[in-house]
Amino acid sequence: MLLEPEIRRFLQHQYPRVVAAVALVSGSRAAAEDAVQEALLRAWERVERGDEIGSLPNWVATVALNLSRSGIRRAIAERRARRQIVPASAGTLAEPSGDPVDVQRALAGLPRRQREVAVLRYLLDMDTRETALGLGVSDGTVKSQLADARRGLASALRIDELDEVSNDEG
Amino acid sequence: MKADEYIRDRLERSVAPVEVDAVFERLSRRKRHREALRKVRSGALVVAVVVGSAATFLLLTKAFRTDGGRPGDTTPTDTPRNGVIVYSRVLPTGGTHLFALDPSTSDVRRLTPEGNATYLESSISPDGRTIAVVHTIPSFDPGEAVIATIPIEGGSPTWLTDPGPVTAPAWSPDGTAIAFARSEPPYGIYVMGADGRGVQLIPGTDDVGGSHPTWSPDGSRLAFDAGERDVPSDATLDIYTVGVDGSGLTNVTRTSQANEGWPDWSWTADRIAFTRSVSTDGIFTIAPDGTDERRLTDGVDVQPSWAPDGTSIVFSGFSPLRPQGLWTVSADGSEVVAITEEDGLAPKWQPLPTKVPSDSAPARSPDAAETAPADIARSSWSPAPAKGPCAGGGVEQADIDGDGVVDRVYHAWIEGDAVLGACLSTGGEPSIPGKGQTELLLIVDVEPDGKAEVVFGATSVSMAFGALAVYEKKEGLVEVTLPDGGEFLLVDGLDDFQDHGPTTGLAWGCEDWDDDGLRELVQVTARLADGDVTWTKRFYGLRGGVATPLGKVSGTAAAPPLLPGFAQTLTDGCSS
Repeated sequence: MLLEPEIRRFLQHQYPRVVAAVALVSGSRAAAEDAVQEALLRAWERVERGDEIGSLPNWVATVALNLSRSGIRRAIAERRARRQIVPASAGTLAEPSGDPVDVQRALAGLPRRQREVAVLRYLLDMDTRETALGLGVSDGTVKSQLADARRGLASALRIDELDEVSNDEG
Repeated sequence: MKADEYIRDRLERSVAPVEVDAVFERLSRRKRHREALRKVRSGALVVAVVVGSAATFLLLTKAFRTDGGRPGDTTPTDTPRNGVIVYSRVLPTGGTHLFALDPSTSDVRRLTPEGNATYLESSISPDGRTIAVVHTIPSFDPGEAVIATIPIEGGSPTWLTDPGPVTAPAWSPDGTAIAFARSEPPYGIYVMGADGRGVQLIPGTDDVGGSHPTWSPDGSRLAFDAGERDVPSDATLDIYTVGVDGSGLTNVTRTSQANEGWPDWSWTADRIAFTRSVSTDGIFTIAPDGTDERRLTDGVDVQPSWAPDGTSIVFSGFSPLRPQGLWTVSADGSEVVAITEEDGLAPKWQPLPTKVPSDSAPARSPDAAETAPADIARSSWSPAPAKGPCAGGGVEQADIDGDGVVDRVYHAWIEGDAVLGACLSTGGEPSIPGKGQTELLLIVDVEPDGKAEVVFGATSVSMAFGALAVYEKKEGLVEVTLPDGGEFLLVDGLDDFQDHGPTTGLAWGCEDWDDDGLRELVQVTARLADGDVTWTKRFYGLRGGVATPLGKVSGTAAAPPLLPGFAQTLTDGCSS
């Protein structure tokens, strides 16, 4: 049973991270908050109906990403967000300043699937299997998308020391 | 630094702290909102009035006269101007209440009293002064509701119907009638007079399961949604139109892959707005003959209501990613604007007539006004419903103000500081308020022209220690102000109302003070101190609205001396 204390714990500890992940994928923090809250609400209602949810953060994150992918208003907002941040192309970025905008620009230059895989992996610490289940793709796709995302991000963020992509998360 | 760590570190900086309590409160509010809306959208697309017995409804229909005024020969009104937008909100403190938003200033004011009552699916009279609304109180059985009216300025509800499976009131363009629907099978569209009498089924609408009626501008036809309402999903609902007499029943939308619901007929143009769901969500408009369909919005947008001037439509936005609240869309769909920051349900736009009626009374049927005195006596003896707050009722009729006209007696139910509702008293034993509720008797003088004035009020059954209402003498009269801002005047001549407070009670009744066979008015005050109640009864002769002091009796008791007898003592009315 998803009770108030559990929801509050989620809000306290995982919610900020999930919102950040969805915002990095979608390009809008406000829309991300809406999506995550909607997903959390759906989880709450599902549990009340008797359905089981394994990992609440993982479930909420993947549902929120799915929600953020649909809807014409979301699409418009995303296009607007991308227009604002993409013109400064990844290759012309200045030295990494540590400002989150740099990461947003870098992510905005990636295909959506790579963005999703990257934030689920790096920000939400979901392993390959969890990411694959959440996004409805194969483990192999997750690995290849993650490798591509990592290369793209490293290039955009001008990370000189590019270590080996570890594929041990599965 | 390794690439993975560097990326993770940069991504971590996007994580911002959150105000947990605020988010949780918002989530809780949205959840309650959705639960309410789910009730609206489920089955009959109606709210909070799902279950009820057929017997109750039969009693309800019997209680209404069948010769009430019938619309149909009305004339189109001048194009009205746009007033406030009335809508419902589920409050975290309890209840679902009506609010009014002024679109020009964004000012929002609450219209309904505090408490856990529910007010949903409103309709505003064509003169813009009165709201008809589906009203439920906690003591109702599941599925029961009443159609009530509330002044546009706000205040306590007055019940037009007894509790039953009623929903979706819609005021006719000439103000003489209200259409509504049943919220459980067999569905159908019904029409009653604006005073709640003369219920008639529109033939054929029960066959198709009609609900959510809306009137054509000339009052000759209604649109409604209908279909297989007991099928929980899939595309079964369409928009229909029908003549007031049941003629010309027509399926306007005829879709097999989508549901259409919540029609709203424009005040000014021959177009019907509606919600479509299942395959394509959004607000649409269509000509009444089923041609020229136009999409205005894209999303889970529901409950459209035309602006009286026809330039736009207000609706409740419910898309997962659209901020939930009220939105407007221009009549051509070119502009969608958010008008509230908080949740809103079932908005209705107030019409402001270009010709302001001179009569300050709510719109009434001319027939009802002419026959008011006779109706009072008749309705006073109408069969009591089987259950609900109106069951029984200790007061039948009384000429309380001595003007020779039998006055109406209403029972109002109060919970805490909130007036939950009022209904016309019927014969039988005194009713018993629900747990935590108090009953207030209101005796209303109804003039032949239909104007009504409350001339007497009395608490009964419980002493209501605690401020139920504030009593104050003013210019020779005693003015009673209810906590929700409503007020009325009591008869002249009463005194000693100043002691009412947290440990003081007040009540009225009738007793034969001088043993002459007639009952006099008795006012009882009581004070609670150290576990004892000190009480005083003051007796008054009453005639013509003036009370003459006769004497008083005081005493002390271990418990409040006022018991349900006070409701019964009014049964024969006061006279002296």
